[in-house]
Amino acid sequence: MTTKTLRDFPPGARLIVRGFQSTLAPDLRGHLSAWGLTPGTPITLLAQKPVTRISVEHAELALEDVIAAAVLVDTAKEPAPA
Amino acid sequence: MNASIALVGQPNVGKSVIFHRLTGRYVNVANYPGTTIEVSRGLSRAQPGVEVLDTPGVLTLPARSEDEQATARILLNEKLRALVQVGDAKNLRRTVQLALLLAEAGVPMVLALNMMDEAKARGMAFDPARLAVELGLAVVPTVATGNEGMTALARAIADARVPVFRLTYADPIEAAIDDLALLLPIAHLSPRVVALLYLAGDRATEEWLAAQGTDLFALAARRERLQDEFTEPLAEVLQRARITAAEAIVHRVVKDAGSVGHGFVQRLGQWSVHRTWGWPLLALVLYGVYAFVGQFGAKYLVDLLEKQLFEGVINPWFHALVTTWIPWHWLQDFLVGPYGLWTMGMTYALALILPIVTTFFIAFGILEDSGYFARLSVLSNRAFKTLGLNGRAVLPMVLGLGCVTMATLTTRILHTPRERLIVTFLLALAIPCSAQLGVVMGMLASYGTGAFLIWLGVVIGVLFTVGWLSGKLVKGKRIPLMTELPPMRLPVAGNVAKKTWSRLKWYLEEVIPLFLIGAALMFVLDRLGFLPWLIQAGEPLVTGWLGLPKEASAALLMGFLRRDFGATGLFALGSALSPEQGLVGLVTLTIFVPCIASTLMIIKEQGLKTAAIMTGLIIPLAFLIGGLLHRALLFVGFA
Repeated sequence: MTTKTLRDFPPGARLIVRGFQSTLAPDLRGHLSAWGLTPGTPITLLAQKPVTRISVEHAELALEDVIAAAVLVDTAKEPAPA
Repeated sequence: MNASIALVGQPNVGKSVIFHRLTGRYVNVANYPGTTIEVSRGLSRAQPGVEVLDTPGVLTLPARSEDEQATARILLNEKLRALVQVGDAKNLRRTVQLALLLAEAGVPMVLALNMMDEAKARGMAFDPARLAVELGLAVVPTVATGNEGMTALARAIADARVPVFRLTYADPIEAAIDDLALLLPIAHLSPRVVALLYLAGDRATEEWLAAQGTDLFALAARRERLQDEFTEPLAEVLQRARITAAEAIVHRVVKDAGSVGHGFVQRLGQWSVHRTWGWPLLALVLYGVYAFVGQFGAKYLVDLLEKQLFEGVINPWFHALVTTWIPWHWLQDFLVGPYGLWTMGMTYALALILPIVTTFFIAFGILEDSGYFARLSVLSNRAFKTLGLNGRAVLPMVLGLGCVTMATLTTRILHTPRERLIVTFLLALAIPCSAQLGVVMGMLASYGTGAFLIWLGVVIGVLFTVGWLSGKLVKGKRIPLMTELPPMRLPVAGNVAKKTWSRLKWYLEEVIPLFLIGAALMFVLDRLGFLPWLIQAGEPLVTGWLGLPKEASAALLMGFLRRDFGATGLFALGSALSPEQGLVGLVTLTIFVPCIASTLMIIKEQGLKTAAIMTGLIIPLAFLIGGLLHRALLFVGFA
C-alpha cells in the first residue's frame, strides 16, 4: 500500500489516485470524489505552488496543501511500447 | 399547472446559454461556476405555453451548497414534462455520473452534450449514439454558444421519453431502496430516486419529506441500519457505485480521450496561476482596467460628456427652456436648481456615471468571459487565509466591484454560513461597486497616482484588518481551498456586448430612478430647511473631524441612498475640495454603508439583526477611518 501523497511529486507527474488519508473530513472527501477523484483515476500534477493544481479528465482543480497531502497517489505506469 | 422543462447539470457547462437559446430570454452567463444562483424561468419558443427552468449547477447530488439545494428542490417540487441534463462533452465521466442518477428519476429526459467544440479541439473522439444506447435516452451534441445542435435539441425535448435505464447498486442498498419506497409519499420523481437522495443525506430531500408529513423516524432507522453495513458514509458508497458504472460506460464510448490543449490561451491560463508569472500578469490586468476605466472612461469620456455636452450645450439650453416656459420659481429650482432633477439627477447619472460604468462593464465582461476571475482564487488564497477564508471568496469580492447587491447573493456559492457572513460583511464595508469605483477613479485620477495608491492602501488595509478580526471573532472552522478552475477562453465580442448591454439596462432602470428620487429628496429637504440644518449640525463631524467643507455633509447624506450618489456629490463639489479633502471624503464614502438595494439584500440573506449590526459597525468605522486619515495626511503634509 502506497503512503505517498500529491505533495510528494513534482509538477508534470502522471499519477493514479489510490485513496484518502483517514484524517480527511468526510465532506471534503465528498467534494473530491464529486470532482472525479476516486481510487483508480489517472491525474496529472500541474503545479505545487502557490497551491497544488491537478488535471482530472479535462478539468483543472486547485487544492490547498492540507488537502493535497490527504490524497494518496501512485505513479502511473507508462503504457508498454507496442 | 402546466408541466415545465428543467435544465439541470454541473456548474459552468452552459445551461444558461441553452436557456437563452430555448427561450430567447437572456440571463447572465459567465465563465465561472456559480453564475446562476437562483432558478430563472422563461417560455419555450418551440413549445408555446411551456415554461423552461434554468437551475444553478450541481456537481453531484446530494447538494452541498445553498444554490445547489435550489436545484434539488426544483426536481422535487416541479412537475416536469422533460428534464434536460446539460453536460460538458470534454468531461464525460462526471457528466455520465450525474446522468446515471437523473436517468432513474422517472421523468422524460434528454442529455445535451455541450461544448463539443472544446472536446474536438482537445482531440477527443467519442460516439454520442453509443452513449444514447448505454443510457437509454436521447443524446444531442451541442455547441450552445455557436447555436449548433439547438434545433435537434428542441426536437429531442419535444419527443423526450422516460429513459429505460437502471443501475444496480449493492444488494443491501437495493433492499433498502425497496423498503423505503413503501414509506415514501407520492412524488414527481420516482420513489427510487427519492430513496437514493434520502439515503445519501440530501438536505433538500429531507426538508421535502418533512413537509409532506412523512414518518422521518422510520426512514432514519432504515438509513442507519443500512449505514451500519458500510464503513464509508452512504453518500460516498452510492457515489462510488455511479462513478464505477460511469467509468465503464465512458470506456466503451470514448475512442480517443484527447490531450490537454497547449494553445496560447491555455498557456495564458497556466501563467495566470503561476507562482511567479501570475503576479506581473495580475498587475498588467489591473493596469489595463485602470487605464481603460479610470483614464479613458472617467477622464476622457466624462470630460467629453459632462463638460462639453451637458455643461456646454444641453444644460444651458434646458435651463433657458425651463426659465422661459415655467413661471414658478420653485418648479424651476426643482428641475434645474442645485438639487434639481435634471441638473443633479440626470446629469450625474448620464454624464458622470454612465460613461464610467459602461467602460467598467466592458472590461469586467471581457475578464469574466475569459475565466480569469475564478483563476484568481489561486493567487489570492494566501491573502484570504489570513481572513480565515479561502481563495474561493475572491469571486464574490471581485463581483462586488461590479455590483455589491448581486455579489451578496453570490456568497451562496461559499460552502459554510461562516464564510458567507464574513464575505457579506466585507462586501458591505470595503468593496466599492462599479459606479462608485468609477467616480472614485475619476476623482483620484485628477489628484495623481499617489492619491490613488493611498486610497487603495487604506481601503485594502481596512479590508484586511477588519477581515482578520472577523475571522477571529466569527465562530467556525476555516475550510481549505478546493476549487475547480474554469478553462481560460478567448472572450467572444458578441457575448461581452450582450452582457454589457444587459448590465447597462439594469443600471439605467435601477440607478436613474434612484438618482431622481435622491435629487427630489435632497430638494425637499433643502426646501424644508432640513438640509441647511443638517449641514450646520454635521459641521463638527464633517468639518471638525474630517476636515471637509460643510457642504460635503450633503454628499455624505446622499451616500446613505447610494454610495456612488454620494461620491458623485463629492465629484460635483469639484475645485471646492482640496486633493486632501477629496481623498478623505472618498475613503469615508468607500467604507460607508452600502446602497439601499444591497442593504435589503443583506437583510434578505442574513436577517434584519445581522444587517443592523453590520450597519451599526460600518458607519462609525467609516468616520473613524476618515478622521484618522485626515490627521495622518496633515501630519505628512499631503497637499
